[in-house]
Amino acid sequence: MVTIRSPREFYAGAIYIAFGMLGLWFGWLYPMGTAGRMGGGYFPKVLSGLLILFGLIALFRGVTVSGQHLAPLRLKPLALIIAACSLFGLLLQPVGLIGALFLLTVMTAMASQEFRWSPVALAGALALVAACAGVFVWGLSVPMPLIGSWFVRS
Amino acid sequence: MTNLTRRDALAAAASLAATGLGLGFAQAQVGPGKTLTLMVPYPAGGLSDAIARNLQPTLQKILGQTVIVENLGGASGGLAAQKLLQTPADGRMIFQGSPNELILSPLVNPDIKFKPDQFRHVTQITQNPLILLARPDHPASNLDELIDYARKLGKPVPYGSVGIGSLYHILSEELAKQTAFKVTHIPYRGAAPMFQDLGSGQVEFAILPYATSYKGLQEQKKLKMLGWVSKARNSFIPELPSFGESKTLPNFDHSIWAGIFVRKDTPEDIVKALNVAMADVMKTPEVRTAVGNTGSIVIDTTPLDVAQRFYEDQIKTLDTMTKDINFKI
Amino acid sequence: MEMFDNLWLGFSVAVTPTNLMWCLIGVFLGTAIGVLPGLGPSATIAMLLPATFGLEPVSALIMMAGIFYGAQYGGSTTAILINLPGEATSVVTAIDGYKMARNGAAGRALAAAAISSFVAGTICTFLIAFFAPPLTDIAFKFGPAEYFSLMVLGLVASVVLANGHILHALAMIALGLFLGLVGTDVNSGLQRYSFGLPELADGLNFVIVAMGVFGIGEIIANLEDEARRDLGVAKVEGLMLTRADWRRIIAPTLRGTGLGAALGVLPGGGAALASFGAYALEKRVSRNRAEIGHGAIEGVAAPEAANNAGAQMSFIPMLTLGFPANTVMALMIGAMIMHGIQPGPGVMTEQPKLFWGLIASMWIGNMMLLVLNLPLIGLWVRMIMVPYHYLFPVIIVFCVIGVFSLSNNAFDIQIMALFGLLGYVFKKLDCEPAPMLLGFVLGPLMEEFLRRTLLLSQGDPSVLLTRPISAVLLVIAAGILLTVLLPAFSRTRAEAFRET
Repeated sequence: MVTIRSPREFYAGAIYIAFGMLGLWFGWLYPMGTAGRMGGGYFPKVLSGLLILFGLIALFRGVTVSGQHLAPLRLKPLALIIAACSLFGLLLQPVGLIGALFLLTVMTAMASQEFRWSPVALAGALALVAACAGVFVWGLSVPMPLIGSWFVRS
Repeated sequence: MTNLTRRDALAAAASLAATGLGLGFAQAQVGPGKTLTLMVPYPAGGLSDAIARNLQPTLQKILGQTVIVENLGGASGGLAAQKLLQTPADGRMIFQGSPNELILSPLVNPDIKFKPDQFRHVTQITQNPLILLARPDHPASNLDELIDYARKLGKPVPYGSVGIGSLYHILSEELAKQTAFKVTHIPYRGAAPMFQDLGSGQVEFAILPYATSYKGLQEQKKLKMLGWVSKARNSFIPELPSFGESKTLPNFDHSIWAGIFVRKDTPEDIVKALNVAMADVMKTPEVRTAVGNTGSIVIDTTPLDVAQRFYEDQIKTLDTMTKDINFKI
Repeated sequence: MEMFDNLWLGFSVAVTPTNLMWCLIGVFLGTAIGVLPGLGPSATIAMLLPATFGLEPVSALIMMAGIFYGAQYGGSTTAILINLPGEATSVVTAIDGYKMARNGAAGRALAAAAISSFVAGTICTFLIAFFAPPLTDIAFKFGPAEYFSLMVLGLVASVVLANGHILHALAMIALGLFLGLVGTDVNSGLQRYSFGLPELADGLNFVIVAMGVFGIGEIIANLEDEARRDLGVAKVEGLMLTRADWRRIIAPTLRGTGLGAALGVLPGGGAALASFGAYALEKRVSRNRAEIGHGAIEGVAAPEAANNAGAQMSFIPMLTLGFPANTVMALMIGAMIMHGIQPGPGVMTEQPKLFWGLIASMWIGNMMLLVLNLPLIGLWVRMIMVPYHYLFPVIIVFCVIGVFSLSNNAFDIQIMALFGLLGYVFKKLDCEPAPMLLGFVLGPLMEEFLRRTLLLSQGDPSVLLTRPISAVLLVIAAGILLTVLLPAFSRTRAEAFRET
């Protein structure tokens, strides 16, 4: 039975290997070319190979060298912030900047332990939305709809 | 690395300042936005860039929109052409192209996935004579001597071009084939980065469209001009010999042209407005002088149907040419 | 002396009220966009280029140059305060600068950045004035083989950025190089790892990757440990440098300036290496090298001096030959053409007023930046004393909108979110992302130069060792790698022995 003695090494190694495998899988058909005329597939394969090699060494170290244990993951901030950014990207066109940005602000703020629902917090979020609309949409003409396509009849 | 596509972000600031430049008169706005991108498929410092920069102020005045020149070199201009195809077909991006990136490279390079007929030719703007350049300390001083040198070198002669499948790549290979010497093709993103390796003697020669800046670079010993790639000499530098005077390739006569393109599915009224605007731009005396000063021959613009027929003819001609010489990359 | 006549001519052009005004507008705009995440100097200059057509050519160039080096200043401000490097050159400044800020020393970090940049700018103004023509020839000593070896050296030097085992630094570099492959191969036009998505055909954008990995990733990690985060900024040390600080930054600033000046002259991406190289150098030679990486002032001063020196020197190939070293220089060339000036070797002789006026304005602009920035430090420091749970949503909003406005594409936000996740995981696993960012920036260039080298040598890689400059660069790289690897191996063995 192999035990993971250094989780940090082990998981980092797993990530390197994952990237290397992805690189080989999707880059398998890219042409290698010749020594003098290197093809578009040469660099991808060499780098994927290196990543797998580094990954294997790290995996090996993960089970032989003992290291610190990872601090426990706290999924709430991670999930909230990634989801908030992603949702903003999805909702910007259909819902519009005002709605999407308000949602983004509230969702990200909720990731903090200090967060409480309060009129002040809501006012702060609204002020941020208003400031962004002013600076980016009117001031810098970034083409973001204030009100999205779901609410505007065409 | 840096991305120039944030064209709208500061449009306000730019157009605010632009109002001071007399944008009051009748305007045929093209596309939806306040800004329009003029895409140049090569890095700054080359001929295409110089032409675009000279068109830009007048085009901006005539359209009443901020016009931004964006340089994107790579894959024989294919990177820029691809970008045009990704941009909505509403005229917000126009492409200053040549047969290099739009016709030849998709014809000969299987990795280029777009096709020449995905573009609509708005109008031709210039005709450009080609010139043979060599490294500054090259022993040869004309075509015959270069060929003589190349045959005696005993190894493939490295030459530069602006990318795989560019006319200059094809012509250089053809030149070498007809005069029986071996070459190695070294592709660059554009002429500007290539001059560094030409200047340091890493590449031996290159065929490129003529640009006035070559005179200064020759004086600074950064390159050497060997001859016009045509039967007759060209009045830009009358003292430079032409290929027509050579013993080896007196019939080797080529040139290239540049024009304005949009996506094929761009609405007709936008294409028309652009065609009219470009005609006005190219009629302006300052533009004619400035573009002429880059080393290009200014061509009168044509109506849309003539432009499109010309483009289709070029596709056929170049297709036949690459098949005739059996060009393989 | 002729040089002094030239500089005199330059200053007489640069100090006219109009030109002073445009210089001020330039550096002010530059600082502002440098502070705003996402908005880079090249985008700004591209936008403003059409508007400068009504100006005198020299005023237009003075303003654009001001935007360029002003943005370098502004960019390091966000890197130090909120760990958001807007440009590749401020990635390393973030390492020690941000740690200093979290230790309450934001003021001193900002002051060190401003002062070392100013010193570097001053020295380089004179270097350009005295040596511009001979320096031009250095660039011609560098063929593709030399560029490739220089980049290998840069990447190898960046392993010292990471605090952990060298294995992870190397793996992160490989990962960065790998991410740089995404997009269309510039040689063949082959699409690699773009999964048929048109948004990826152009490759990943540096700003998106940096904002995800540094900005978003850092915020998530901070939120895990919120109590300590707020405590860190609560105590604020003095805003200005102490006498000891001055003594500590002099040598690093000069070393950084030297390295930045040398690399900035090379038009093939040399400048991107300058700040990384300067940081790596300090980590080797500085008296306080043990502290670097943990919030040492040397780790801010050296890369900042190097990046300003590199930025300044990148004007040389542009002014003397018309070869752009980076996007901003390319735009300056465009501006000259628009004003009817033929860029190239003739500029210095035919347009002496423009040439020397621009150079003199750079020194004046650097001076203005110092005067503008030092009083602002107090304001910035107060900004990050805002409780973190108010600050971080604002940073995220700026990141998201900044990334969107790069190409007005919401898809880019998804990519940023993905890199945010990745950045958090790396942080959790103690994998330093700075080498990855350097690999990402250099990857495409390295591949291009290596392919060109091998084409020129007909497939014989030994040219990398037979060309003298290239060989020297590679030998230095090998030396660094050995000195890092040998102790690492012995440590591993020691660890293994301890286990058994």
